[in-house]
Amino acid sequence: MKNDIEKSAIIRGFAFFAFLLVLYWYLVENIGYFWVMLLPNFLLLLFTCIFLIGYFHIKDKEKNEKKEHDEKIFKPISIIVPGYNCEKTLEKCLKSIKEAYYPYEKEIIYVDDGSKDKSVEIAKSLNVKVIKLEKNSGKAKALNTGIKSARHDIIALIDSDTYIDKYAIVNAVKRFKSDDVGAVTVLIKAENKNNSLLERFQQIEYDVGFGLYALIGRYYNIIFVTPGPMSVFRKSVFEKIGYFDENNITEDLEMGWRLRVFGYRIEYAPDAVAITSIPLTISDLLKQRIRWYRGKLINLKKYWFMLFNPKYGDFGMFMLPFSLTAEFSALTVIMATSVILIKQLWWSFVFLISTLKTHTMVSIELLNILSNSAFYIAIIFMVPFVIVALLSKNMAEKKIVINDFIDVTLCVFLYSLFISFAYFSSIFHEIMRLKARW
Amino acid sequence: MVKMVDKIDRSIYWKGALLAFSLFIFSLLLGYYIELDKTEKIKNTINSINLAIDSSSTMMFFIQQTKSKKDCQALSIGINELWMETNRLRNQLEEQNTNIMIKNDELKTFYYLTNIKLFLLTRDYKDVCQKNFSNILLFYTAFVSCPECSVQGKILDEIRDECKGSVAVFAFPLDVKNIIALNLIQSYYNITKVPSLVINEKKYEGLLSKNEIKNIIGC
Repeated sequence: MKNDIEKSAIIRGFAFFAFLLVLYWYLVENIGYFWVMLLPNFLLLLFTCIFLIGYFHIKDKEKNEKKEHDEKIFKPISIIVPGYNCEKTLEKCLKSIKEAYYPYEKEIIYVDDGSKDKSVEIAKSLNVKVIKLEKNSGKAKALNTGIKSARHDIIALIDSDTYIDKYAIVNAVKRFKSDDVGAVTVLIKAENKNNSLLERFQQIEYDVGFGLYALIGRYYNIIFVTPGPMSVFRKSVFEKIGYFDENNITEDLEMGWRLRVFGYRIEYAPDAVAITSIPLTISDLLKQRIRWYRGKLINLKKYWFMLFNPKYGDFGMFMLPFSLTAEFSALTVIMATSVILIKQLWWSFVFLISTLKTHTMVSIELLNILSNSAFYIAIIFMVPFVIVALLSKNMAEKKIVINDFIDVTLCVFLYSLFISFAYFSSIFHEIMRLKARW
Repeated sequence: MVKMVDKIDRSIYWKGALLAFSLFIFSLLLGYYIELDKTEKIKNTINSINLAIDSSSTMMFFIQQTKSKKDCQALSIGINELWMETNRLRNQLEEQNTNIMIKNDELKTFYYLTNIKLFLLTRDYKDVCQKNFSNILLFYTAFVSCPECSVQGKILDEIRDECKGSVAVFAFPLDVKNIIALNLIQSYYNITKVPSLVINEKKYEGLLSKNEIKNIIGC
């Protein structure tokens, strides 16, 4: 596998990170760790505060919105489920789709991406139309094959590890109110199997990202991804702007940005619910996140012209630039903390040598956090994040209990560090041009 | 074609920014207040130490002039307490200094001068009252550039606890250049390296272990 890495990429990568380390070393030494960390954290705070205010702005609008809809919107629908070695989840997925309510005909197509297990038999036993690709060629290819063979104009794409609510499809389709709606996204929830801390953290993240942020994103027309687990499209739109990019590692993000380039809106149906399975181990989660965030970098290279471009509205002026705060923040957090850790290691080394020299165990006293002003500043910065997370949970129609408060606080401290690390790794992978794997 | 884009209320951007800035300012003010409070407490401690030193010095003059050694007993309790207090202050000012907004350079100068005064008073006290305790001076630089100094400091803390009353410890920074009294002490003992110890007027360079120091002072 070593041949996957080019020599020039390694040199460039090391030069880049060495430069960053020197830069952050200089900043930490001269400005101080606290002030270096303050800027990215303030940007994140600003972002969160805007969404927090946005929530209170649209809450009433959402309530007062007319619930009735034009029956003419509903047309027969094609539901495409791409899958690869998914025998464990496929049955539940297809059954939930079959049981879902829809006033017109549903055509269900399972596109098998060269599975080696019993996925195809399961799909056939459920009386679903099956298209079998001979060799494994990626999700985008499977999706495109399915879309091309679909008979109807409205197309729902649902992952094989996702199952949907009974009214998910009908609630999503009724959002195609105007011709400029290119796609409809739904409220995606994370499946909680073992109630582990990692799953609860991801649930909080999904509730915020696909719940509260998407709801505000709908009003300000800034939703920028048509999530893989479930999204609804129109075949005519695909024919106009092209099908999924088969070489892209995050084809759902690329599609979202391409819809924007062609001036389409992405709608959001908060009353359509899909529940998707999530990685259960840290290493799986890290792999998934590196793919997502690297996909974002790759697509940013492709669509950089949307950045700060008023032509693309609030998306180009606000959402896209601000979403880069995550990358900036990850670089700062990881690099500045590395500087501190390297120094700490050096000190520990000197302490160890001193211990050997003096035969006295020297205990390093922990700083008294409670007399530390930075601690209180961090707590105040955390407040909007906690409120947003609790509101999101409330919106996802779950009761807020005292444990949620603890979860959310831990999430802000621990999970954000993990996410920073994932962002950092994705930047590292992209610069080193490590082979992207799906 | 129906569009619903036109009626976007963009006030959330400036309202959000306002909220974020207020939180930002509020948090910094809170941090500033906490540090101010901390600094104020340290300042008050140094002030009271100064007062105690002044009072002890006056007693010292009295003893020197009247040569009445029986009054030394009254001095010893006060001086022992002052040694403890100044060392506690050094920890707060140098080792646990986590201030991010208020630089306490001025406070440090104030502390160094107080420490020098106490050191001189202690020398007088030892001479005049003919007390049998050891004087230890530690020359150090900040923790960041000299972790070994911190180790030496911790060892001296332990020795002070174990040999209560029979040892007086003073610590002076080597990298502070603007206090003439400090420079005088440095050049008097000819100190060039950190960490350096001066035990009963004799210089020792480099890190010393607890047992080595204990052997020298005979504790």
